Amino acid sequence: MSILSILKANLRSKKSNFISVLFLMFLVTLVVTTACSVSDNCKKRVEQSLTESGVGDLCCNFMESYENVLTEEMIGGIEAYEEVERVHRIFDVVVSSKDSMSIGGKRIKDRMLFQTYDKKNMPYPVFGKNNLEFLQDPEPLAEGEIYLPVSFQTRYSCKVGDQVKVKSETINKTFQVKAFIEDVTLGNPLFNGTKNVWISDKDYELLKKAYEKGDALLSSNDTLMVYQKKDSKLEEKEFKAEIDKRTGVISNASVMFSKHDFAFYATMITNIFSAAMIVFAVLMFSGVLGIVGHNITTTIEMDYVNLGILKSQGYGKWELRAVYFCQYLLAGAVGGVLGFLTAFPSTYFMSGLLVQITGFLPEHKISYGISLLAMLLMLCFVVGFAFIKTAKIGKISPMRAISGGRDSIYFSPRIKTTLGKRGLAFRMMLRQITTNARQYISSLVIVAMLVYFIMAVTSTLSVLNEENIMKDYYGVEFDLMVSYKESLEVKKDVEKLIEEYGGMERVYLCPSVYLTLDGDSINVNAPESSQEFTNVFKGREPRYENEIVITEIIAKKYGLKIGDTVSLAHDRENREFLITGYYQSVPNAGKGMSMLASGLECYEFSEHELNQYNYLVSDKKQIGRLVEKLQEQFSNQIEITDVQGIRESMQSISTASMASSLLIYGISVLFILVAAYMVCDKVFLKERNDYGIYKSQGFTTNNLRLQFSLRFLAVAFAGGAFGAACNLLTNDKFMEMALSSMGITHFVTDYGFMDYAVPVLVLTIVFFFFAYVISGRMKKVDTKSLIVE
Amino acid sequence: MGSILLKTKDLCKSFSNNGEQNHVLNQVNLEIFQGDFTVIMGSSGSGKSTLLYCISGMDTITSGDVWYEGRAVNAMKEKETAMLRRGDFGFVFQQMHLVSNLSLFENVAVPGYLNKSKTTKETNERARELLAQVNIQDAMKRLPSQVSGGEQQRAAIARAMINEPKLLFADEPTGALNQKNTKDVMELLLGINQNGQSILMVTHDVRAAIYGNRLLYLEDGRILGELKLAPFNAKEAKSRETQVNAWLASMCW
Ligand SMILES: Nc1ncnc2c1ncn2[C@@H]1O[C@H](COP(=O)(O)OP(=O)(O)O)[C@@H](O)[C@H]1O
Ligand SMILES: [Mg+2]
Repeated sequence: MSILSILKANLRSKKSNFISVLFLMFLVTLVVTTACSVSDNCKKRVEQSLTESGVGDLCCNFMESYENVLTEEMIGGIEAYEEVERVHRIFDVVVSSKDSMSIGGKRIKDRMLFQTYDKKNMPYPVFGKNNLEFLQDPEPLAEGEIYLPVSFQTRYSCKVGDQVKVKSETINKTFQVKAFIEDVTLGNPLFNGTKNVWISDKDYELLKKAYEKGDALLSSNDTLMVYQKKDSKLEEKEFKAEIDKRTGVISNASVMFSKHDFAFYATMITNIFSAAMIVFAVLMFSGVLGIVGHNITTTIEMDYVNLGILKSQGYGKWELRAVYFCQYLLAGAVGGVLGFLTAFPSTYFMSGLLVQITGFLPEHKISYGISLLAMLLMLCFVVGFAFIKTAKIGKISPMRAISGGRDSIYFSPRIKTTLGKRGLAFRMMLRQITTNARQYISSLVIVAMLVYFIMAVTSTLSVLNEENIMKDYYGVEFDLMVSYKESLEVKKDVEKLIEEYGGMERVYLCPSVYLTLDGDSINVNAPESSQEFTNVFKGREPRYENEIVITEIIAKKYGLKIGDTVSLAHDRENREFLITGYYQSVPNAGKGMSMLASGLECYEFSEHELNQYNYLVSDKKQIGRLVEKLQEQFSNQIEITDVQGIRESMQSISTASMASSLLIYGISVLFILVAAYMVCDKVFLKERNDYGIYKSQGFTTNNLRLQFSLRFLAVAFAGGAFGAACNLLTNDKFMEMALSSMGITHFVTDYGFMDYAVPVLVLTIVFFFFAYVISGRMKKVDTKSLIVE
Repeated sequence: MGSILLKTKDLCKSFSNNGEQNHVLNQVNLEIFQGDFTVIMGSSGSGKSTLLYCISGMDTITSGDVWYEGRAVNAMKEKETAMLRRGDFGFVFQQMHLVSNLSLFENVAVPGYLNKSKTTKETNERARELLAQVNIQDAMKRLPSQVSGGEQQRAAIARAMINEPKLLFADEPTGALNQKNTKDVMELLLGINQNGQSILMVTHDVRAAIYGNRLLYLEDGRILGELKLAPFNAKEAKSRETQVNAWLASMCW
């Protein structure tokens, strides 16, 4: 086969070309396959874990203040419903006072729900060593042993064998961490505040007795799990609504999560992460196409004579074009297959890494279907692109080619640049760019895209760490949220203490409760006055007790808009509210509403829930100490949530952003390495002769190297600046698209100078550096090469 | 006869070809004098170009020495040879080798910008003068691809002259030109030489060689003969060609 021999010769002589395309395709396939597989594995594992651990389709939660709300009659009503298979009730003893419990010496930040490890009904998977597998048949917990959710390994930096101390009025007990548990419900690090822990039956009885005897530091939590029949055809929404209609169990519960809710929250971070990686891969792939295009164009220019000769020997244009398709198909396919194979260890590695971040262990299977499809699609694009780019070959006439009549590779520049003594290298560089601008476009676009993407990812970091995170992403502003358990008697004393430590800036009433909409529990913040609504970005804030603002997520999910009325239920009380605007709320992944405190008056809530006050402290640095003091003195009478806790639950998002931005930086640098190598290499080969000439005229190697790499510095910088400018203009919209599943529908980018300067400078310098390294070959360019026999 | 500008001592140059040594220059000893128009002749493949590039510091040598103004060119670092090319040596190639994205004027002026002792304005002034001297001032805004080979070679000569070199090297400057252009270019070089410019030219073309006043014959890697002539006079061109041909014949040309 004659084509085959040309192909072989080409592969031999243009090895670097081949390897570069191969490597880029390798990188893109690796990222796509890993991202798709990880996201798939997470989704599957979460579903599997929920099923394995016996979590009900609906989990209705009754906190202590809802004691006696869940009646036998309700349960009977649910069991009688023909779509229900069964119910399962779990009674937890709760330790919530931060002073009463420590894990590995650290005070707890969450309410701890103590329960037995119920192997029969709720066999949560137990991790073996290194979090890499599950125990097949975990031994029953002995006295003094405890299981913790795996996310505690980072949340409390604890390990197997650490001590967990519980000290209430009547209990003083030390547990030893036996193992960690995969809990995709409350174990999710995104959930702030309430966590399941598991102890032996005997210890549980002990705690329960103490609670029943009236130990003031212990409380209770009742959970009713409802299991829908396997063959039931009802949608979750209809099922919920029907159950609530029959029994009122949902509107009476303090909160209700469905299995789907848990699955949604559990996979949120990995989904965003995978989506980011896939978008990134798509950008990189368009970079690959740009480079392939540039490659083909320059190769044809340089091979002009050879192609002419081959034509004169009887090769048709199709045969010659086929050489190019095959070359790039081969490089792409080999790179794709290698990337696909490398995705195995990389997926394995990622699943191990994810345990800490997500609280569950995804499998490490490769999603063959979607990955192979993506690879195939990319190969088609590469070949199609090669097809378009090689059209030129048809136009080469053998005569002109052989007589050396290759067209000048330069164009008359439209932009006039003058040369002169001062800044000669710089002016020469400008001339090089203006006389052949086209060959730098791919580099420019690649840098622009990478900068855009890096900025987008890092913008989440700067936002989530901002001072105004509460104002913009929570809905109301506070440093401390104090809920008075019994009465407001101690309020004065509490405020005195706040004034003493840090100084009290402001206080306002703001209960936070759950109301039921269409059978869904929705978190409602209810500040006392209209001024407290800090981030209503569309419409206006509620001014009357029958008005409400909702998030865009809620609007979309329930088909609501400004001007509509929405009906909210609690404890068989149903009331209509007029929607006056949109706001956003991150802590509940956007499932939130906000109204005036007076709006809650028609419902029956406990004092505990209604007596919540939000405090703003003047000296933010004192908050930590203040919280300690408050807990010391009032741990029986109040419950405190400080912003720090909420920030911490967002920490996992920051961690994911940080990890992805580091990863993206890393891949970007690799990508630029190869892209810079390919582009610089081609440009260098093309201009090699010119460098010989310059040298014969007395230019030094260093001077020429500088001239060569400076132009890539300029191109990369222009690309970076362009990418940064595009990002500055569109980042809000882009992030809203990317983060809406997290509850962010109104993103306000807040860049400091460094946020755009760093990516632009890093990528520019990297590009410059590689160009400089490649131009090291300048040393070897000899004026001798100008000699013609 | 002027003073010695450049001399070689036992200059050897060999290329290894698959382990086989090809001795192209074999103990060449020669001297180049100030003000001469020296021509090195020899058959194709005899090593003329190699000799030119060895003595101008563009290529390394195998053994021996090349002396220029009391300094050994062969011992210089890259930076020093660059300086030498910048100030003292000028080059004209067979294939002109103009930079394709610079206009003729810029091709001439750019090496001039490297000269520390002249301002941009002075350099531009000199470039314009040189372009006028080689008679292509009308085409100076054009790119090399937009002018003829003869015009390109004249621009290349102007470029070689921009830094007022002490010695102008020319490797087959007429090799790619037709008869008419050959005559133009040689007359140009002769004119420059008459203004005091020392020239070392390599050629195998007798019609170009006759313009020199000192002819050397290179064969088997050695200088085998030398012919001294009076300065060129257009009226005696025919008889001079006959004389040179006779000399070449005696060298087994
Ligand atoms: N880079 C090289 N490597 C190997 N051999 C070379 C090289 N350059 C020149 N030669 C050999 O040196 C000899 C002289 O070449 P050259 O100086 O170009 O001859 P001329 O200019 O007289 O025609 C030739 O035989 C050629 O094959
Ligand atoms: Mg030669």
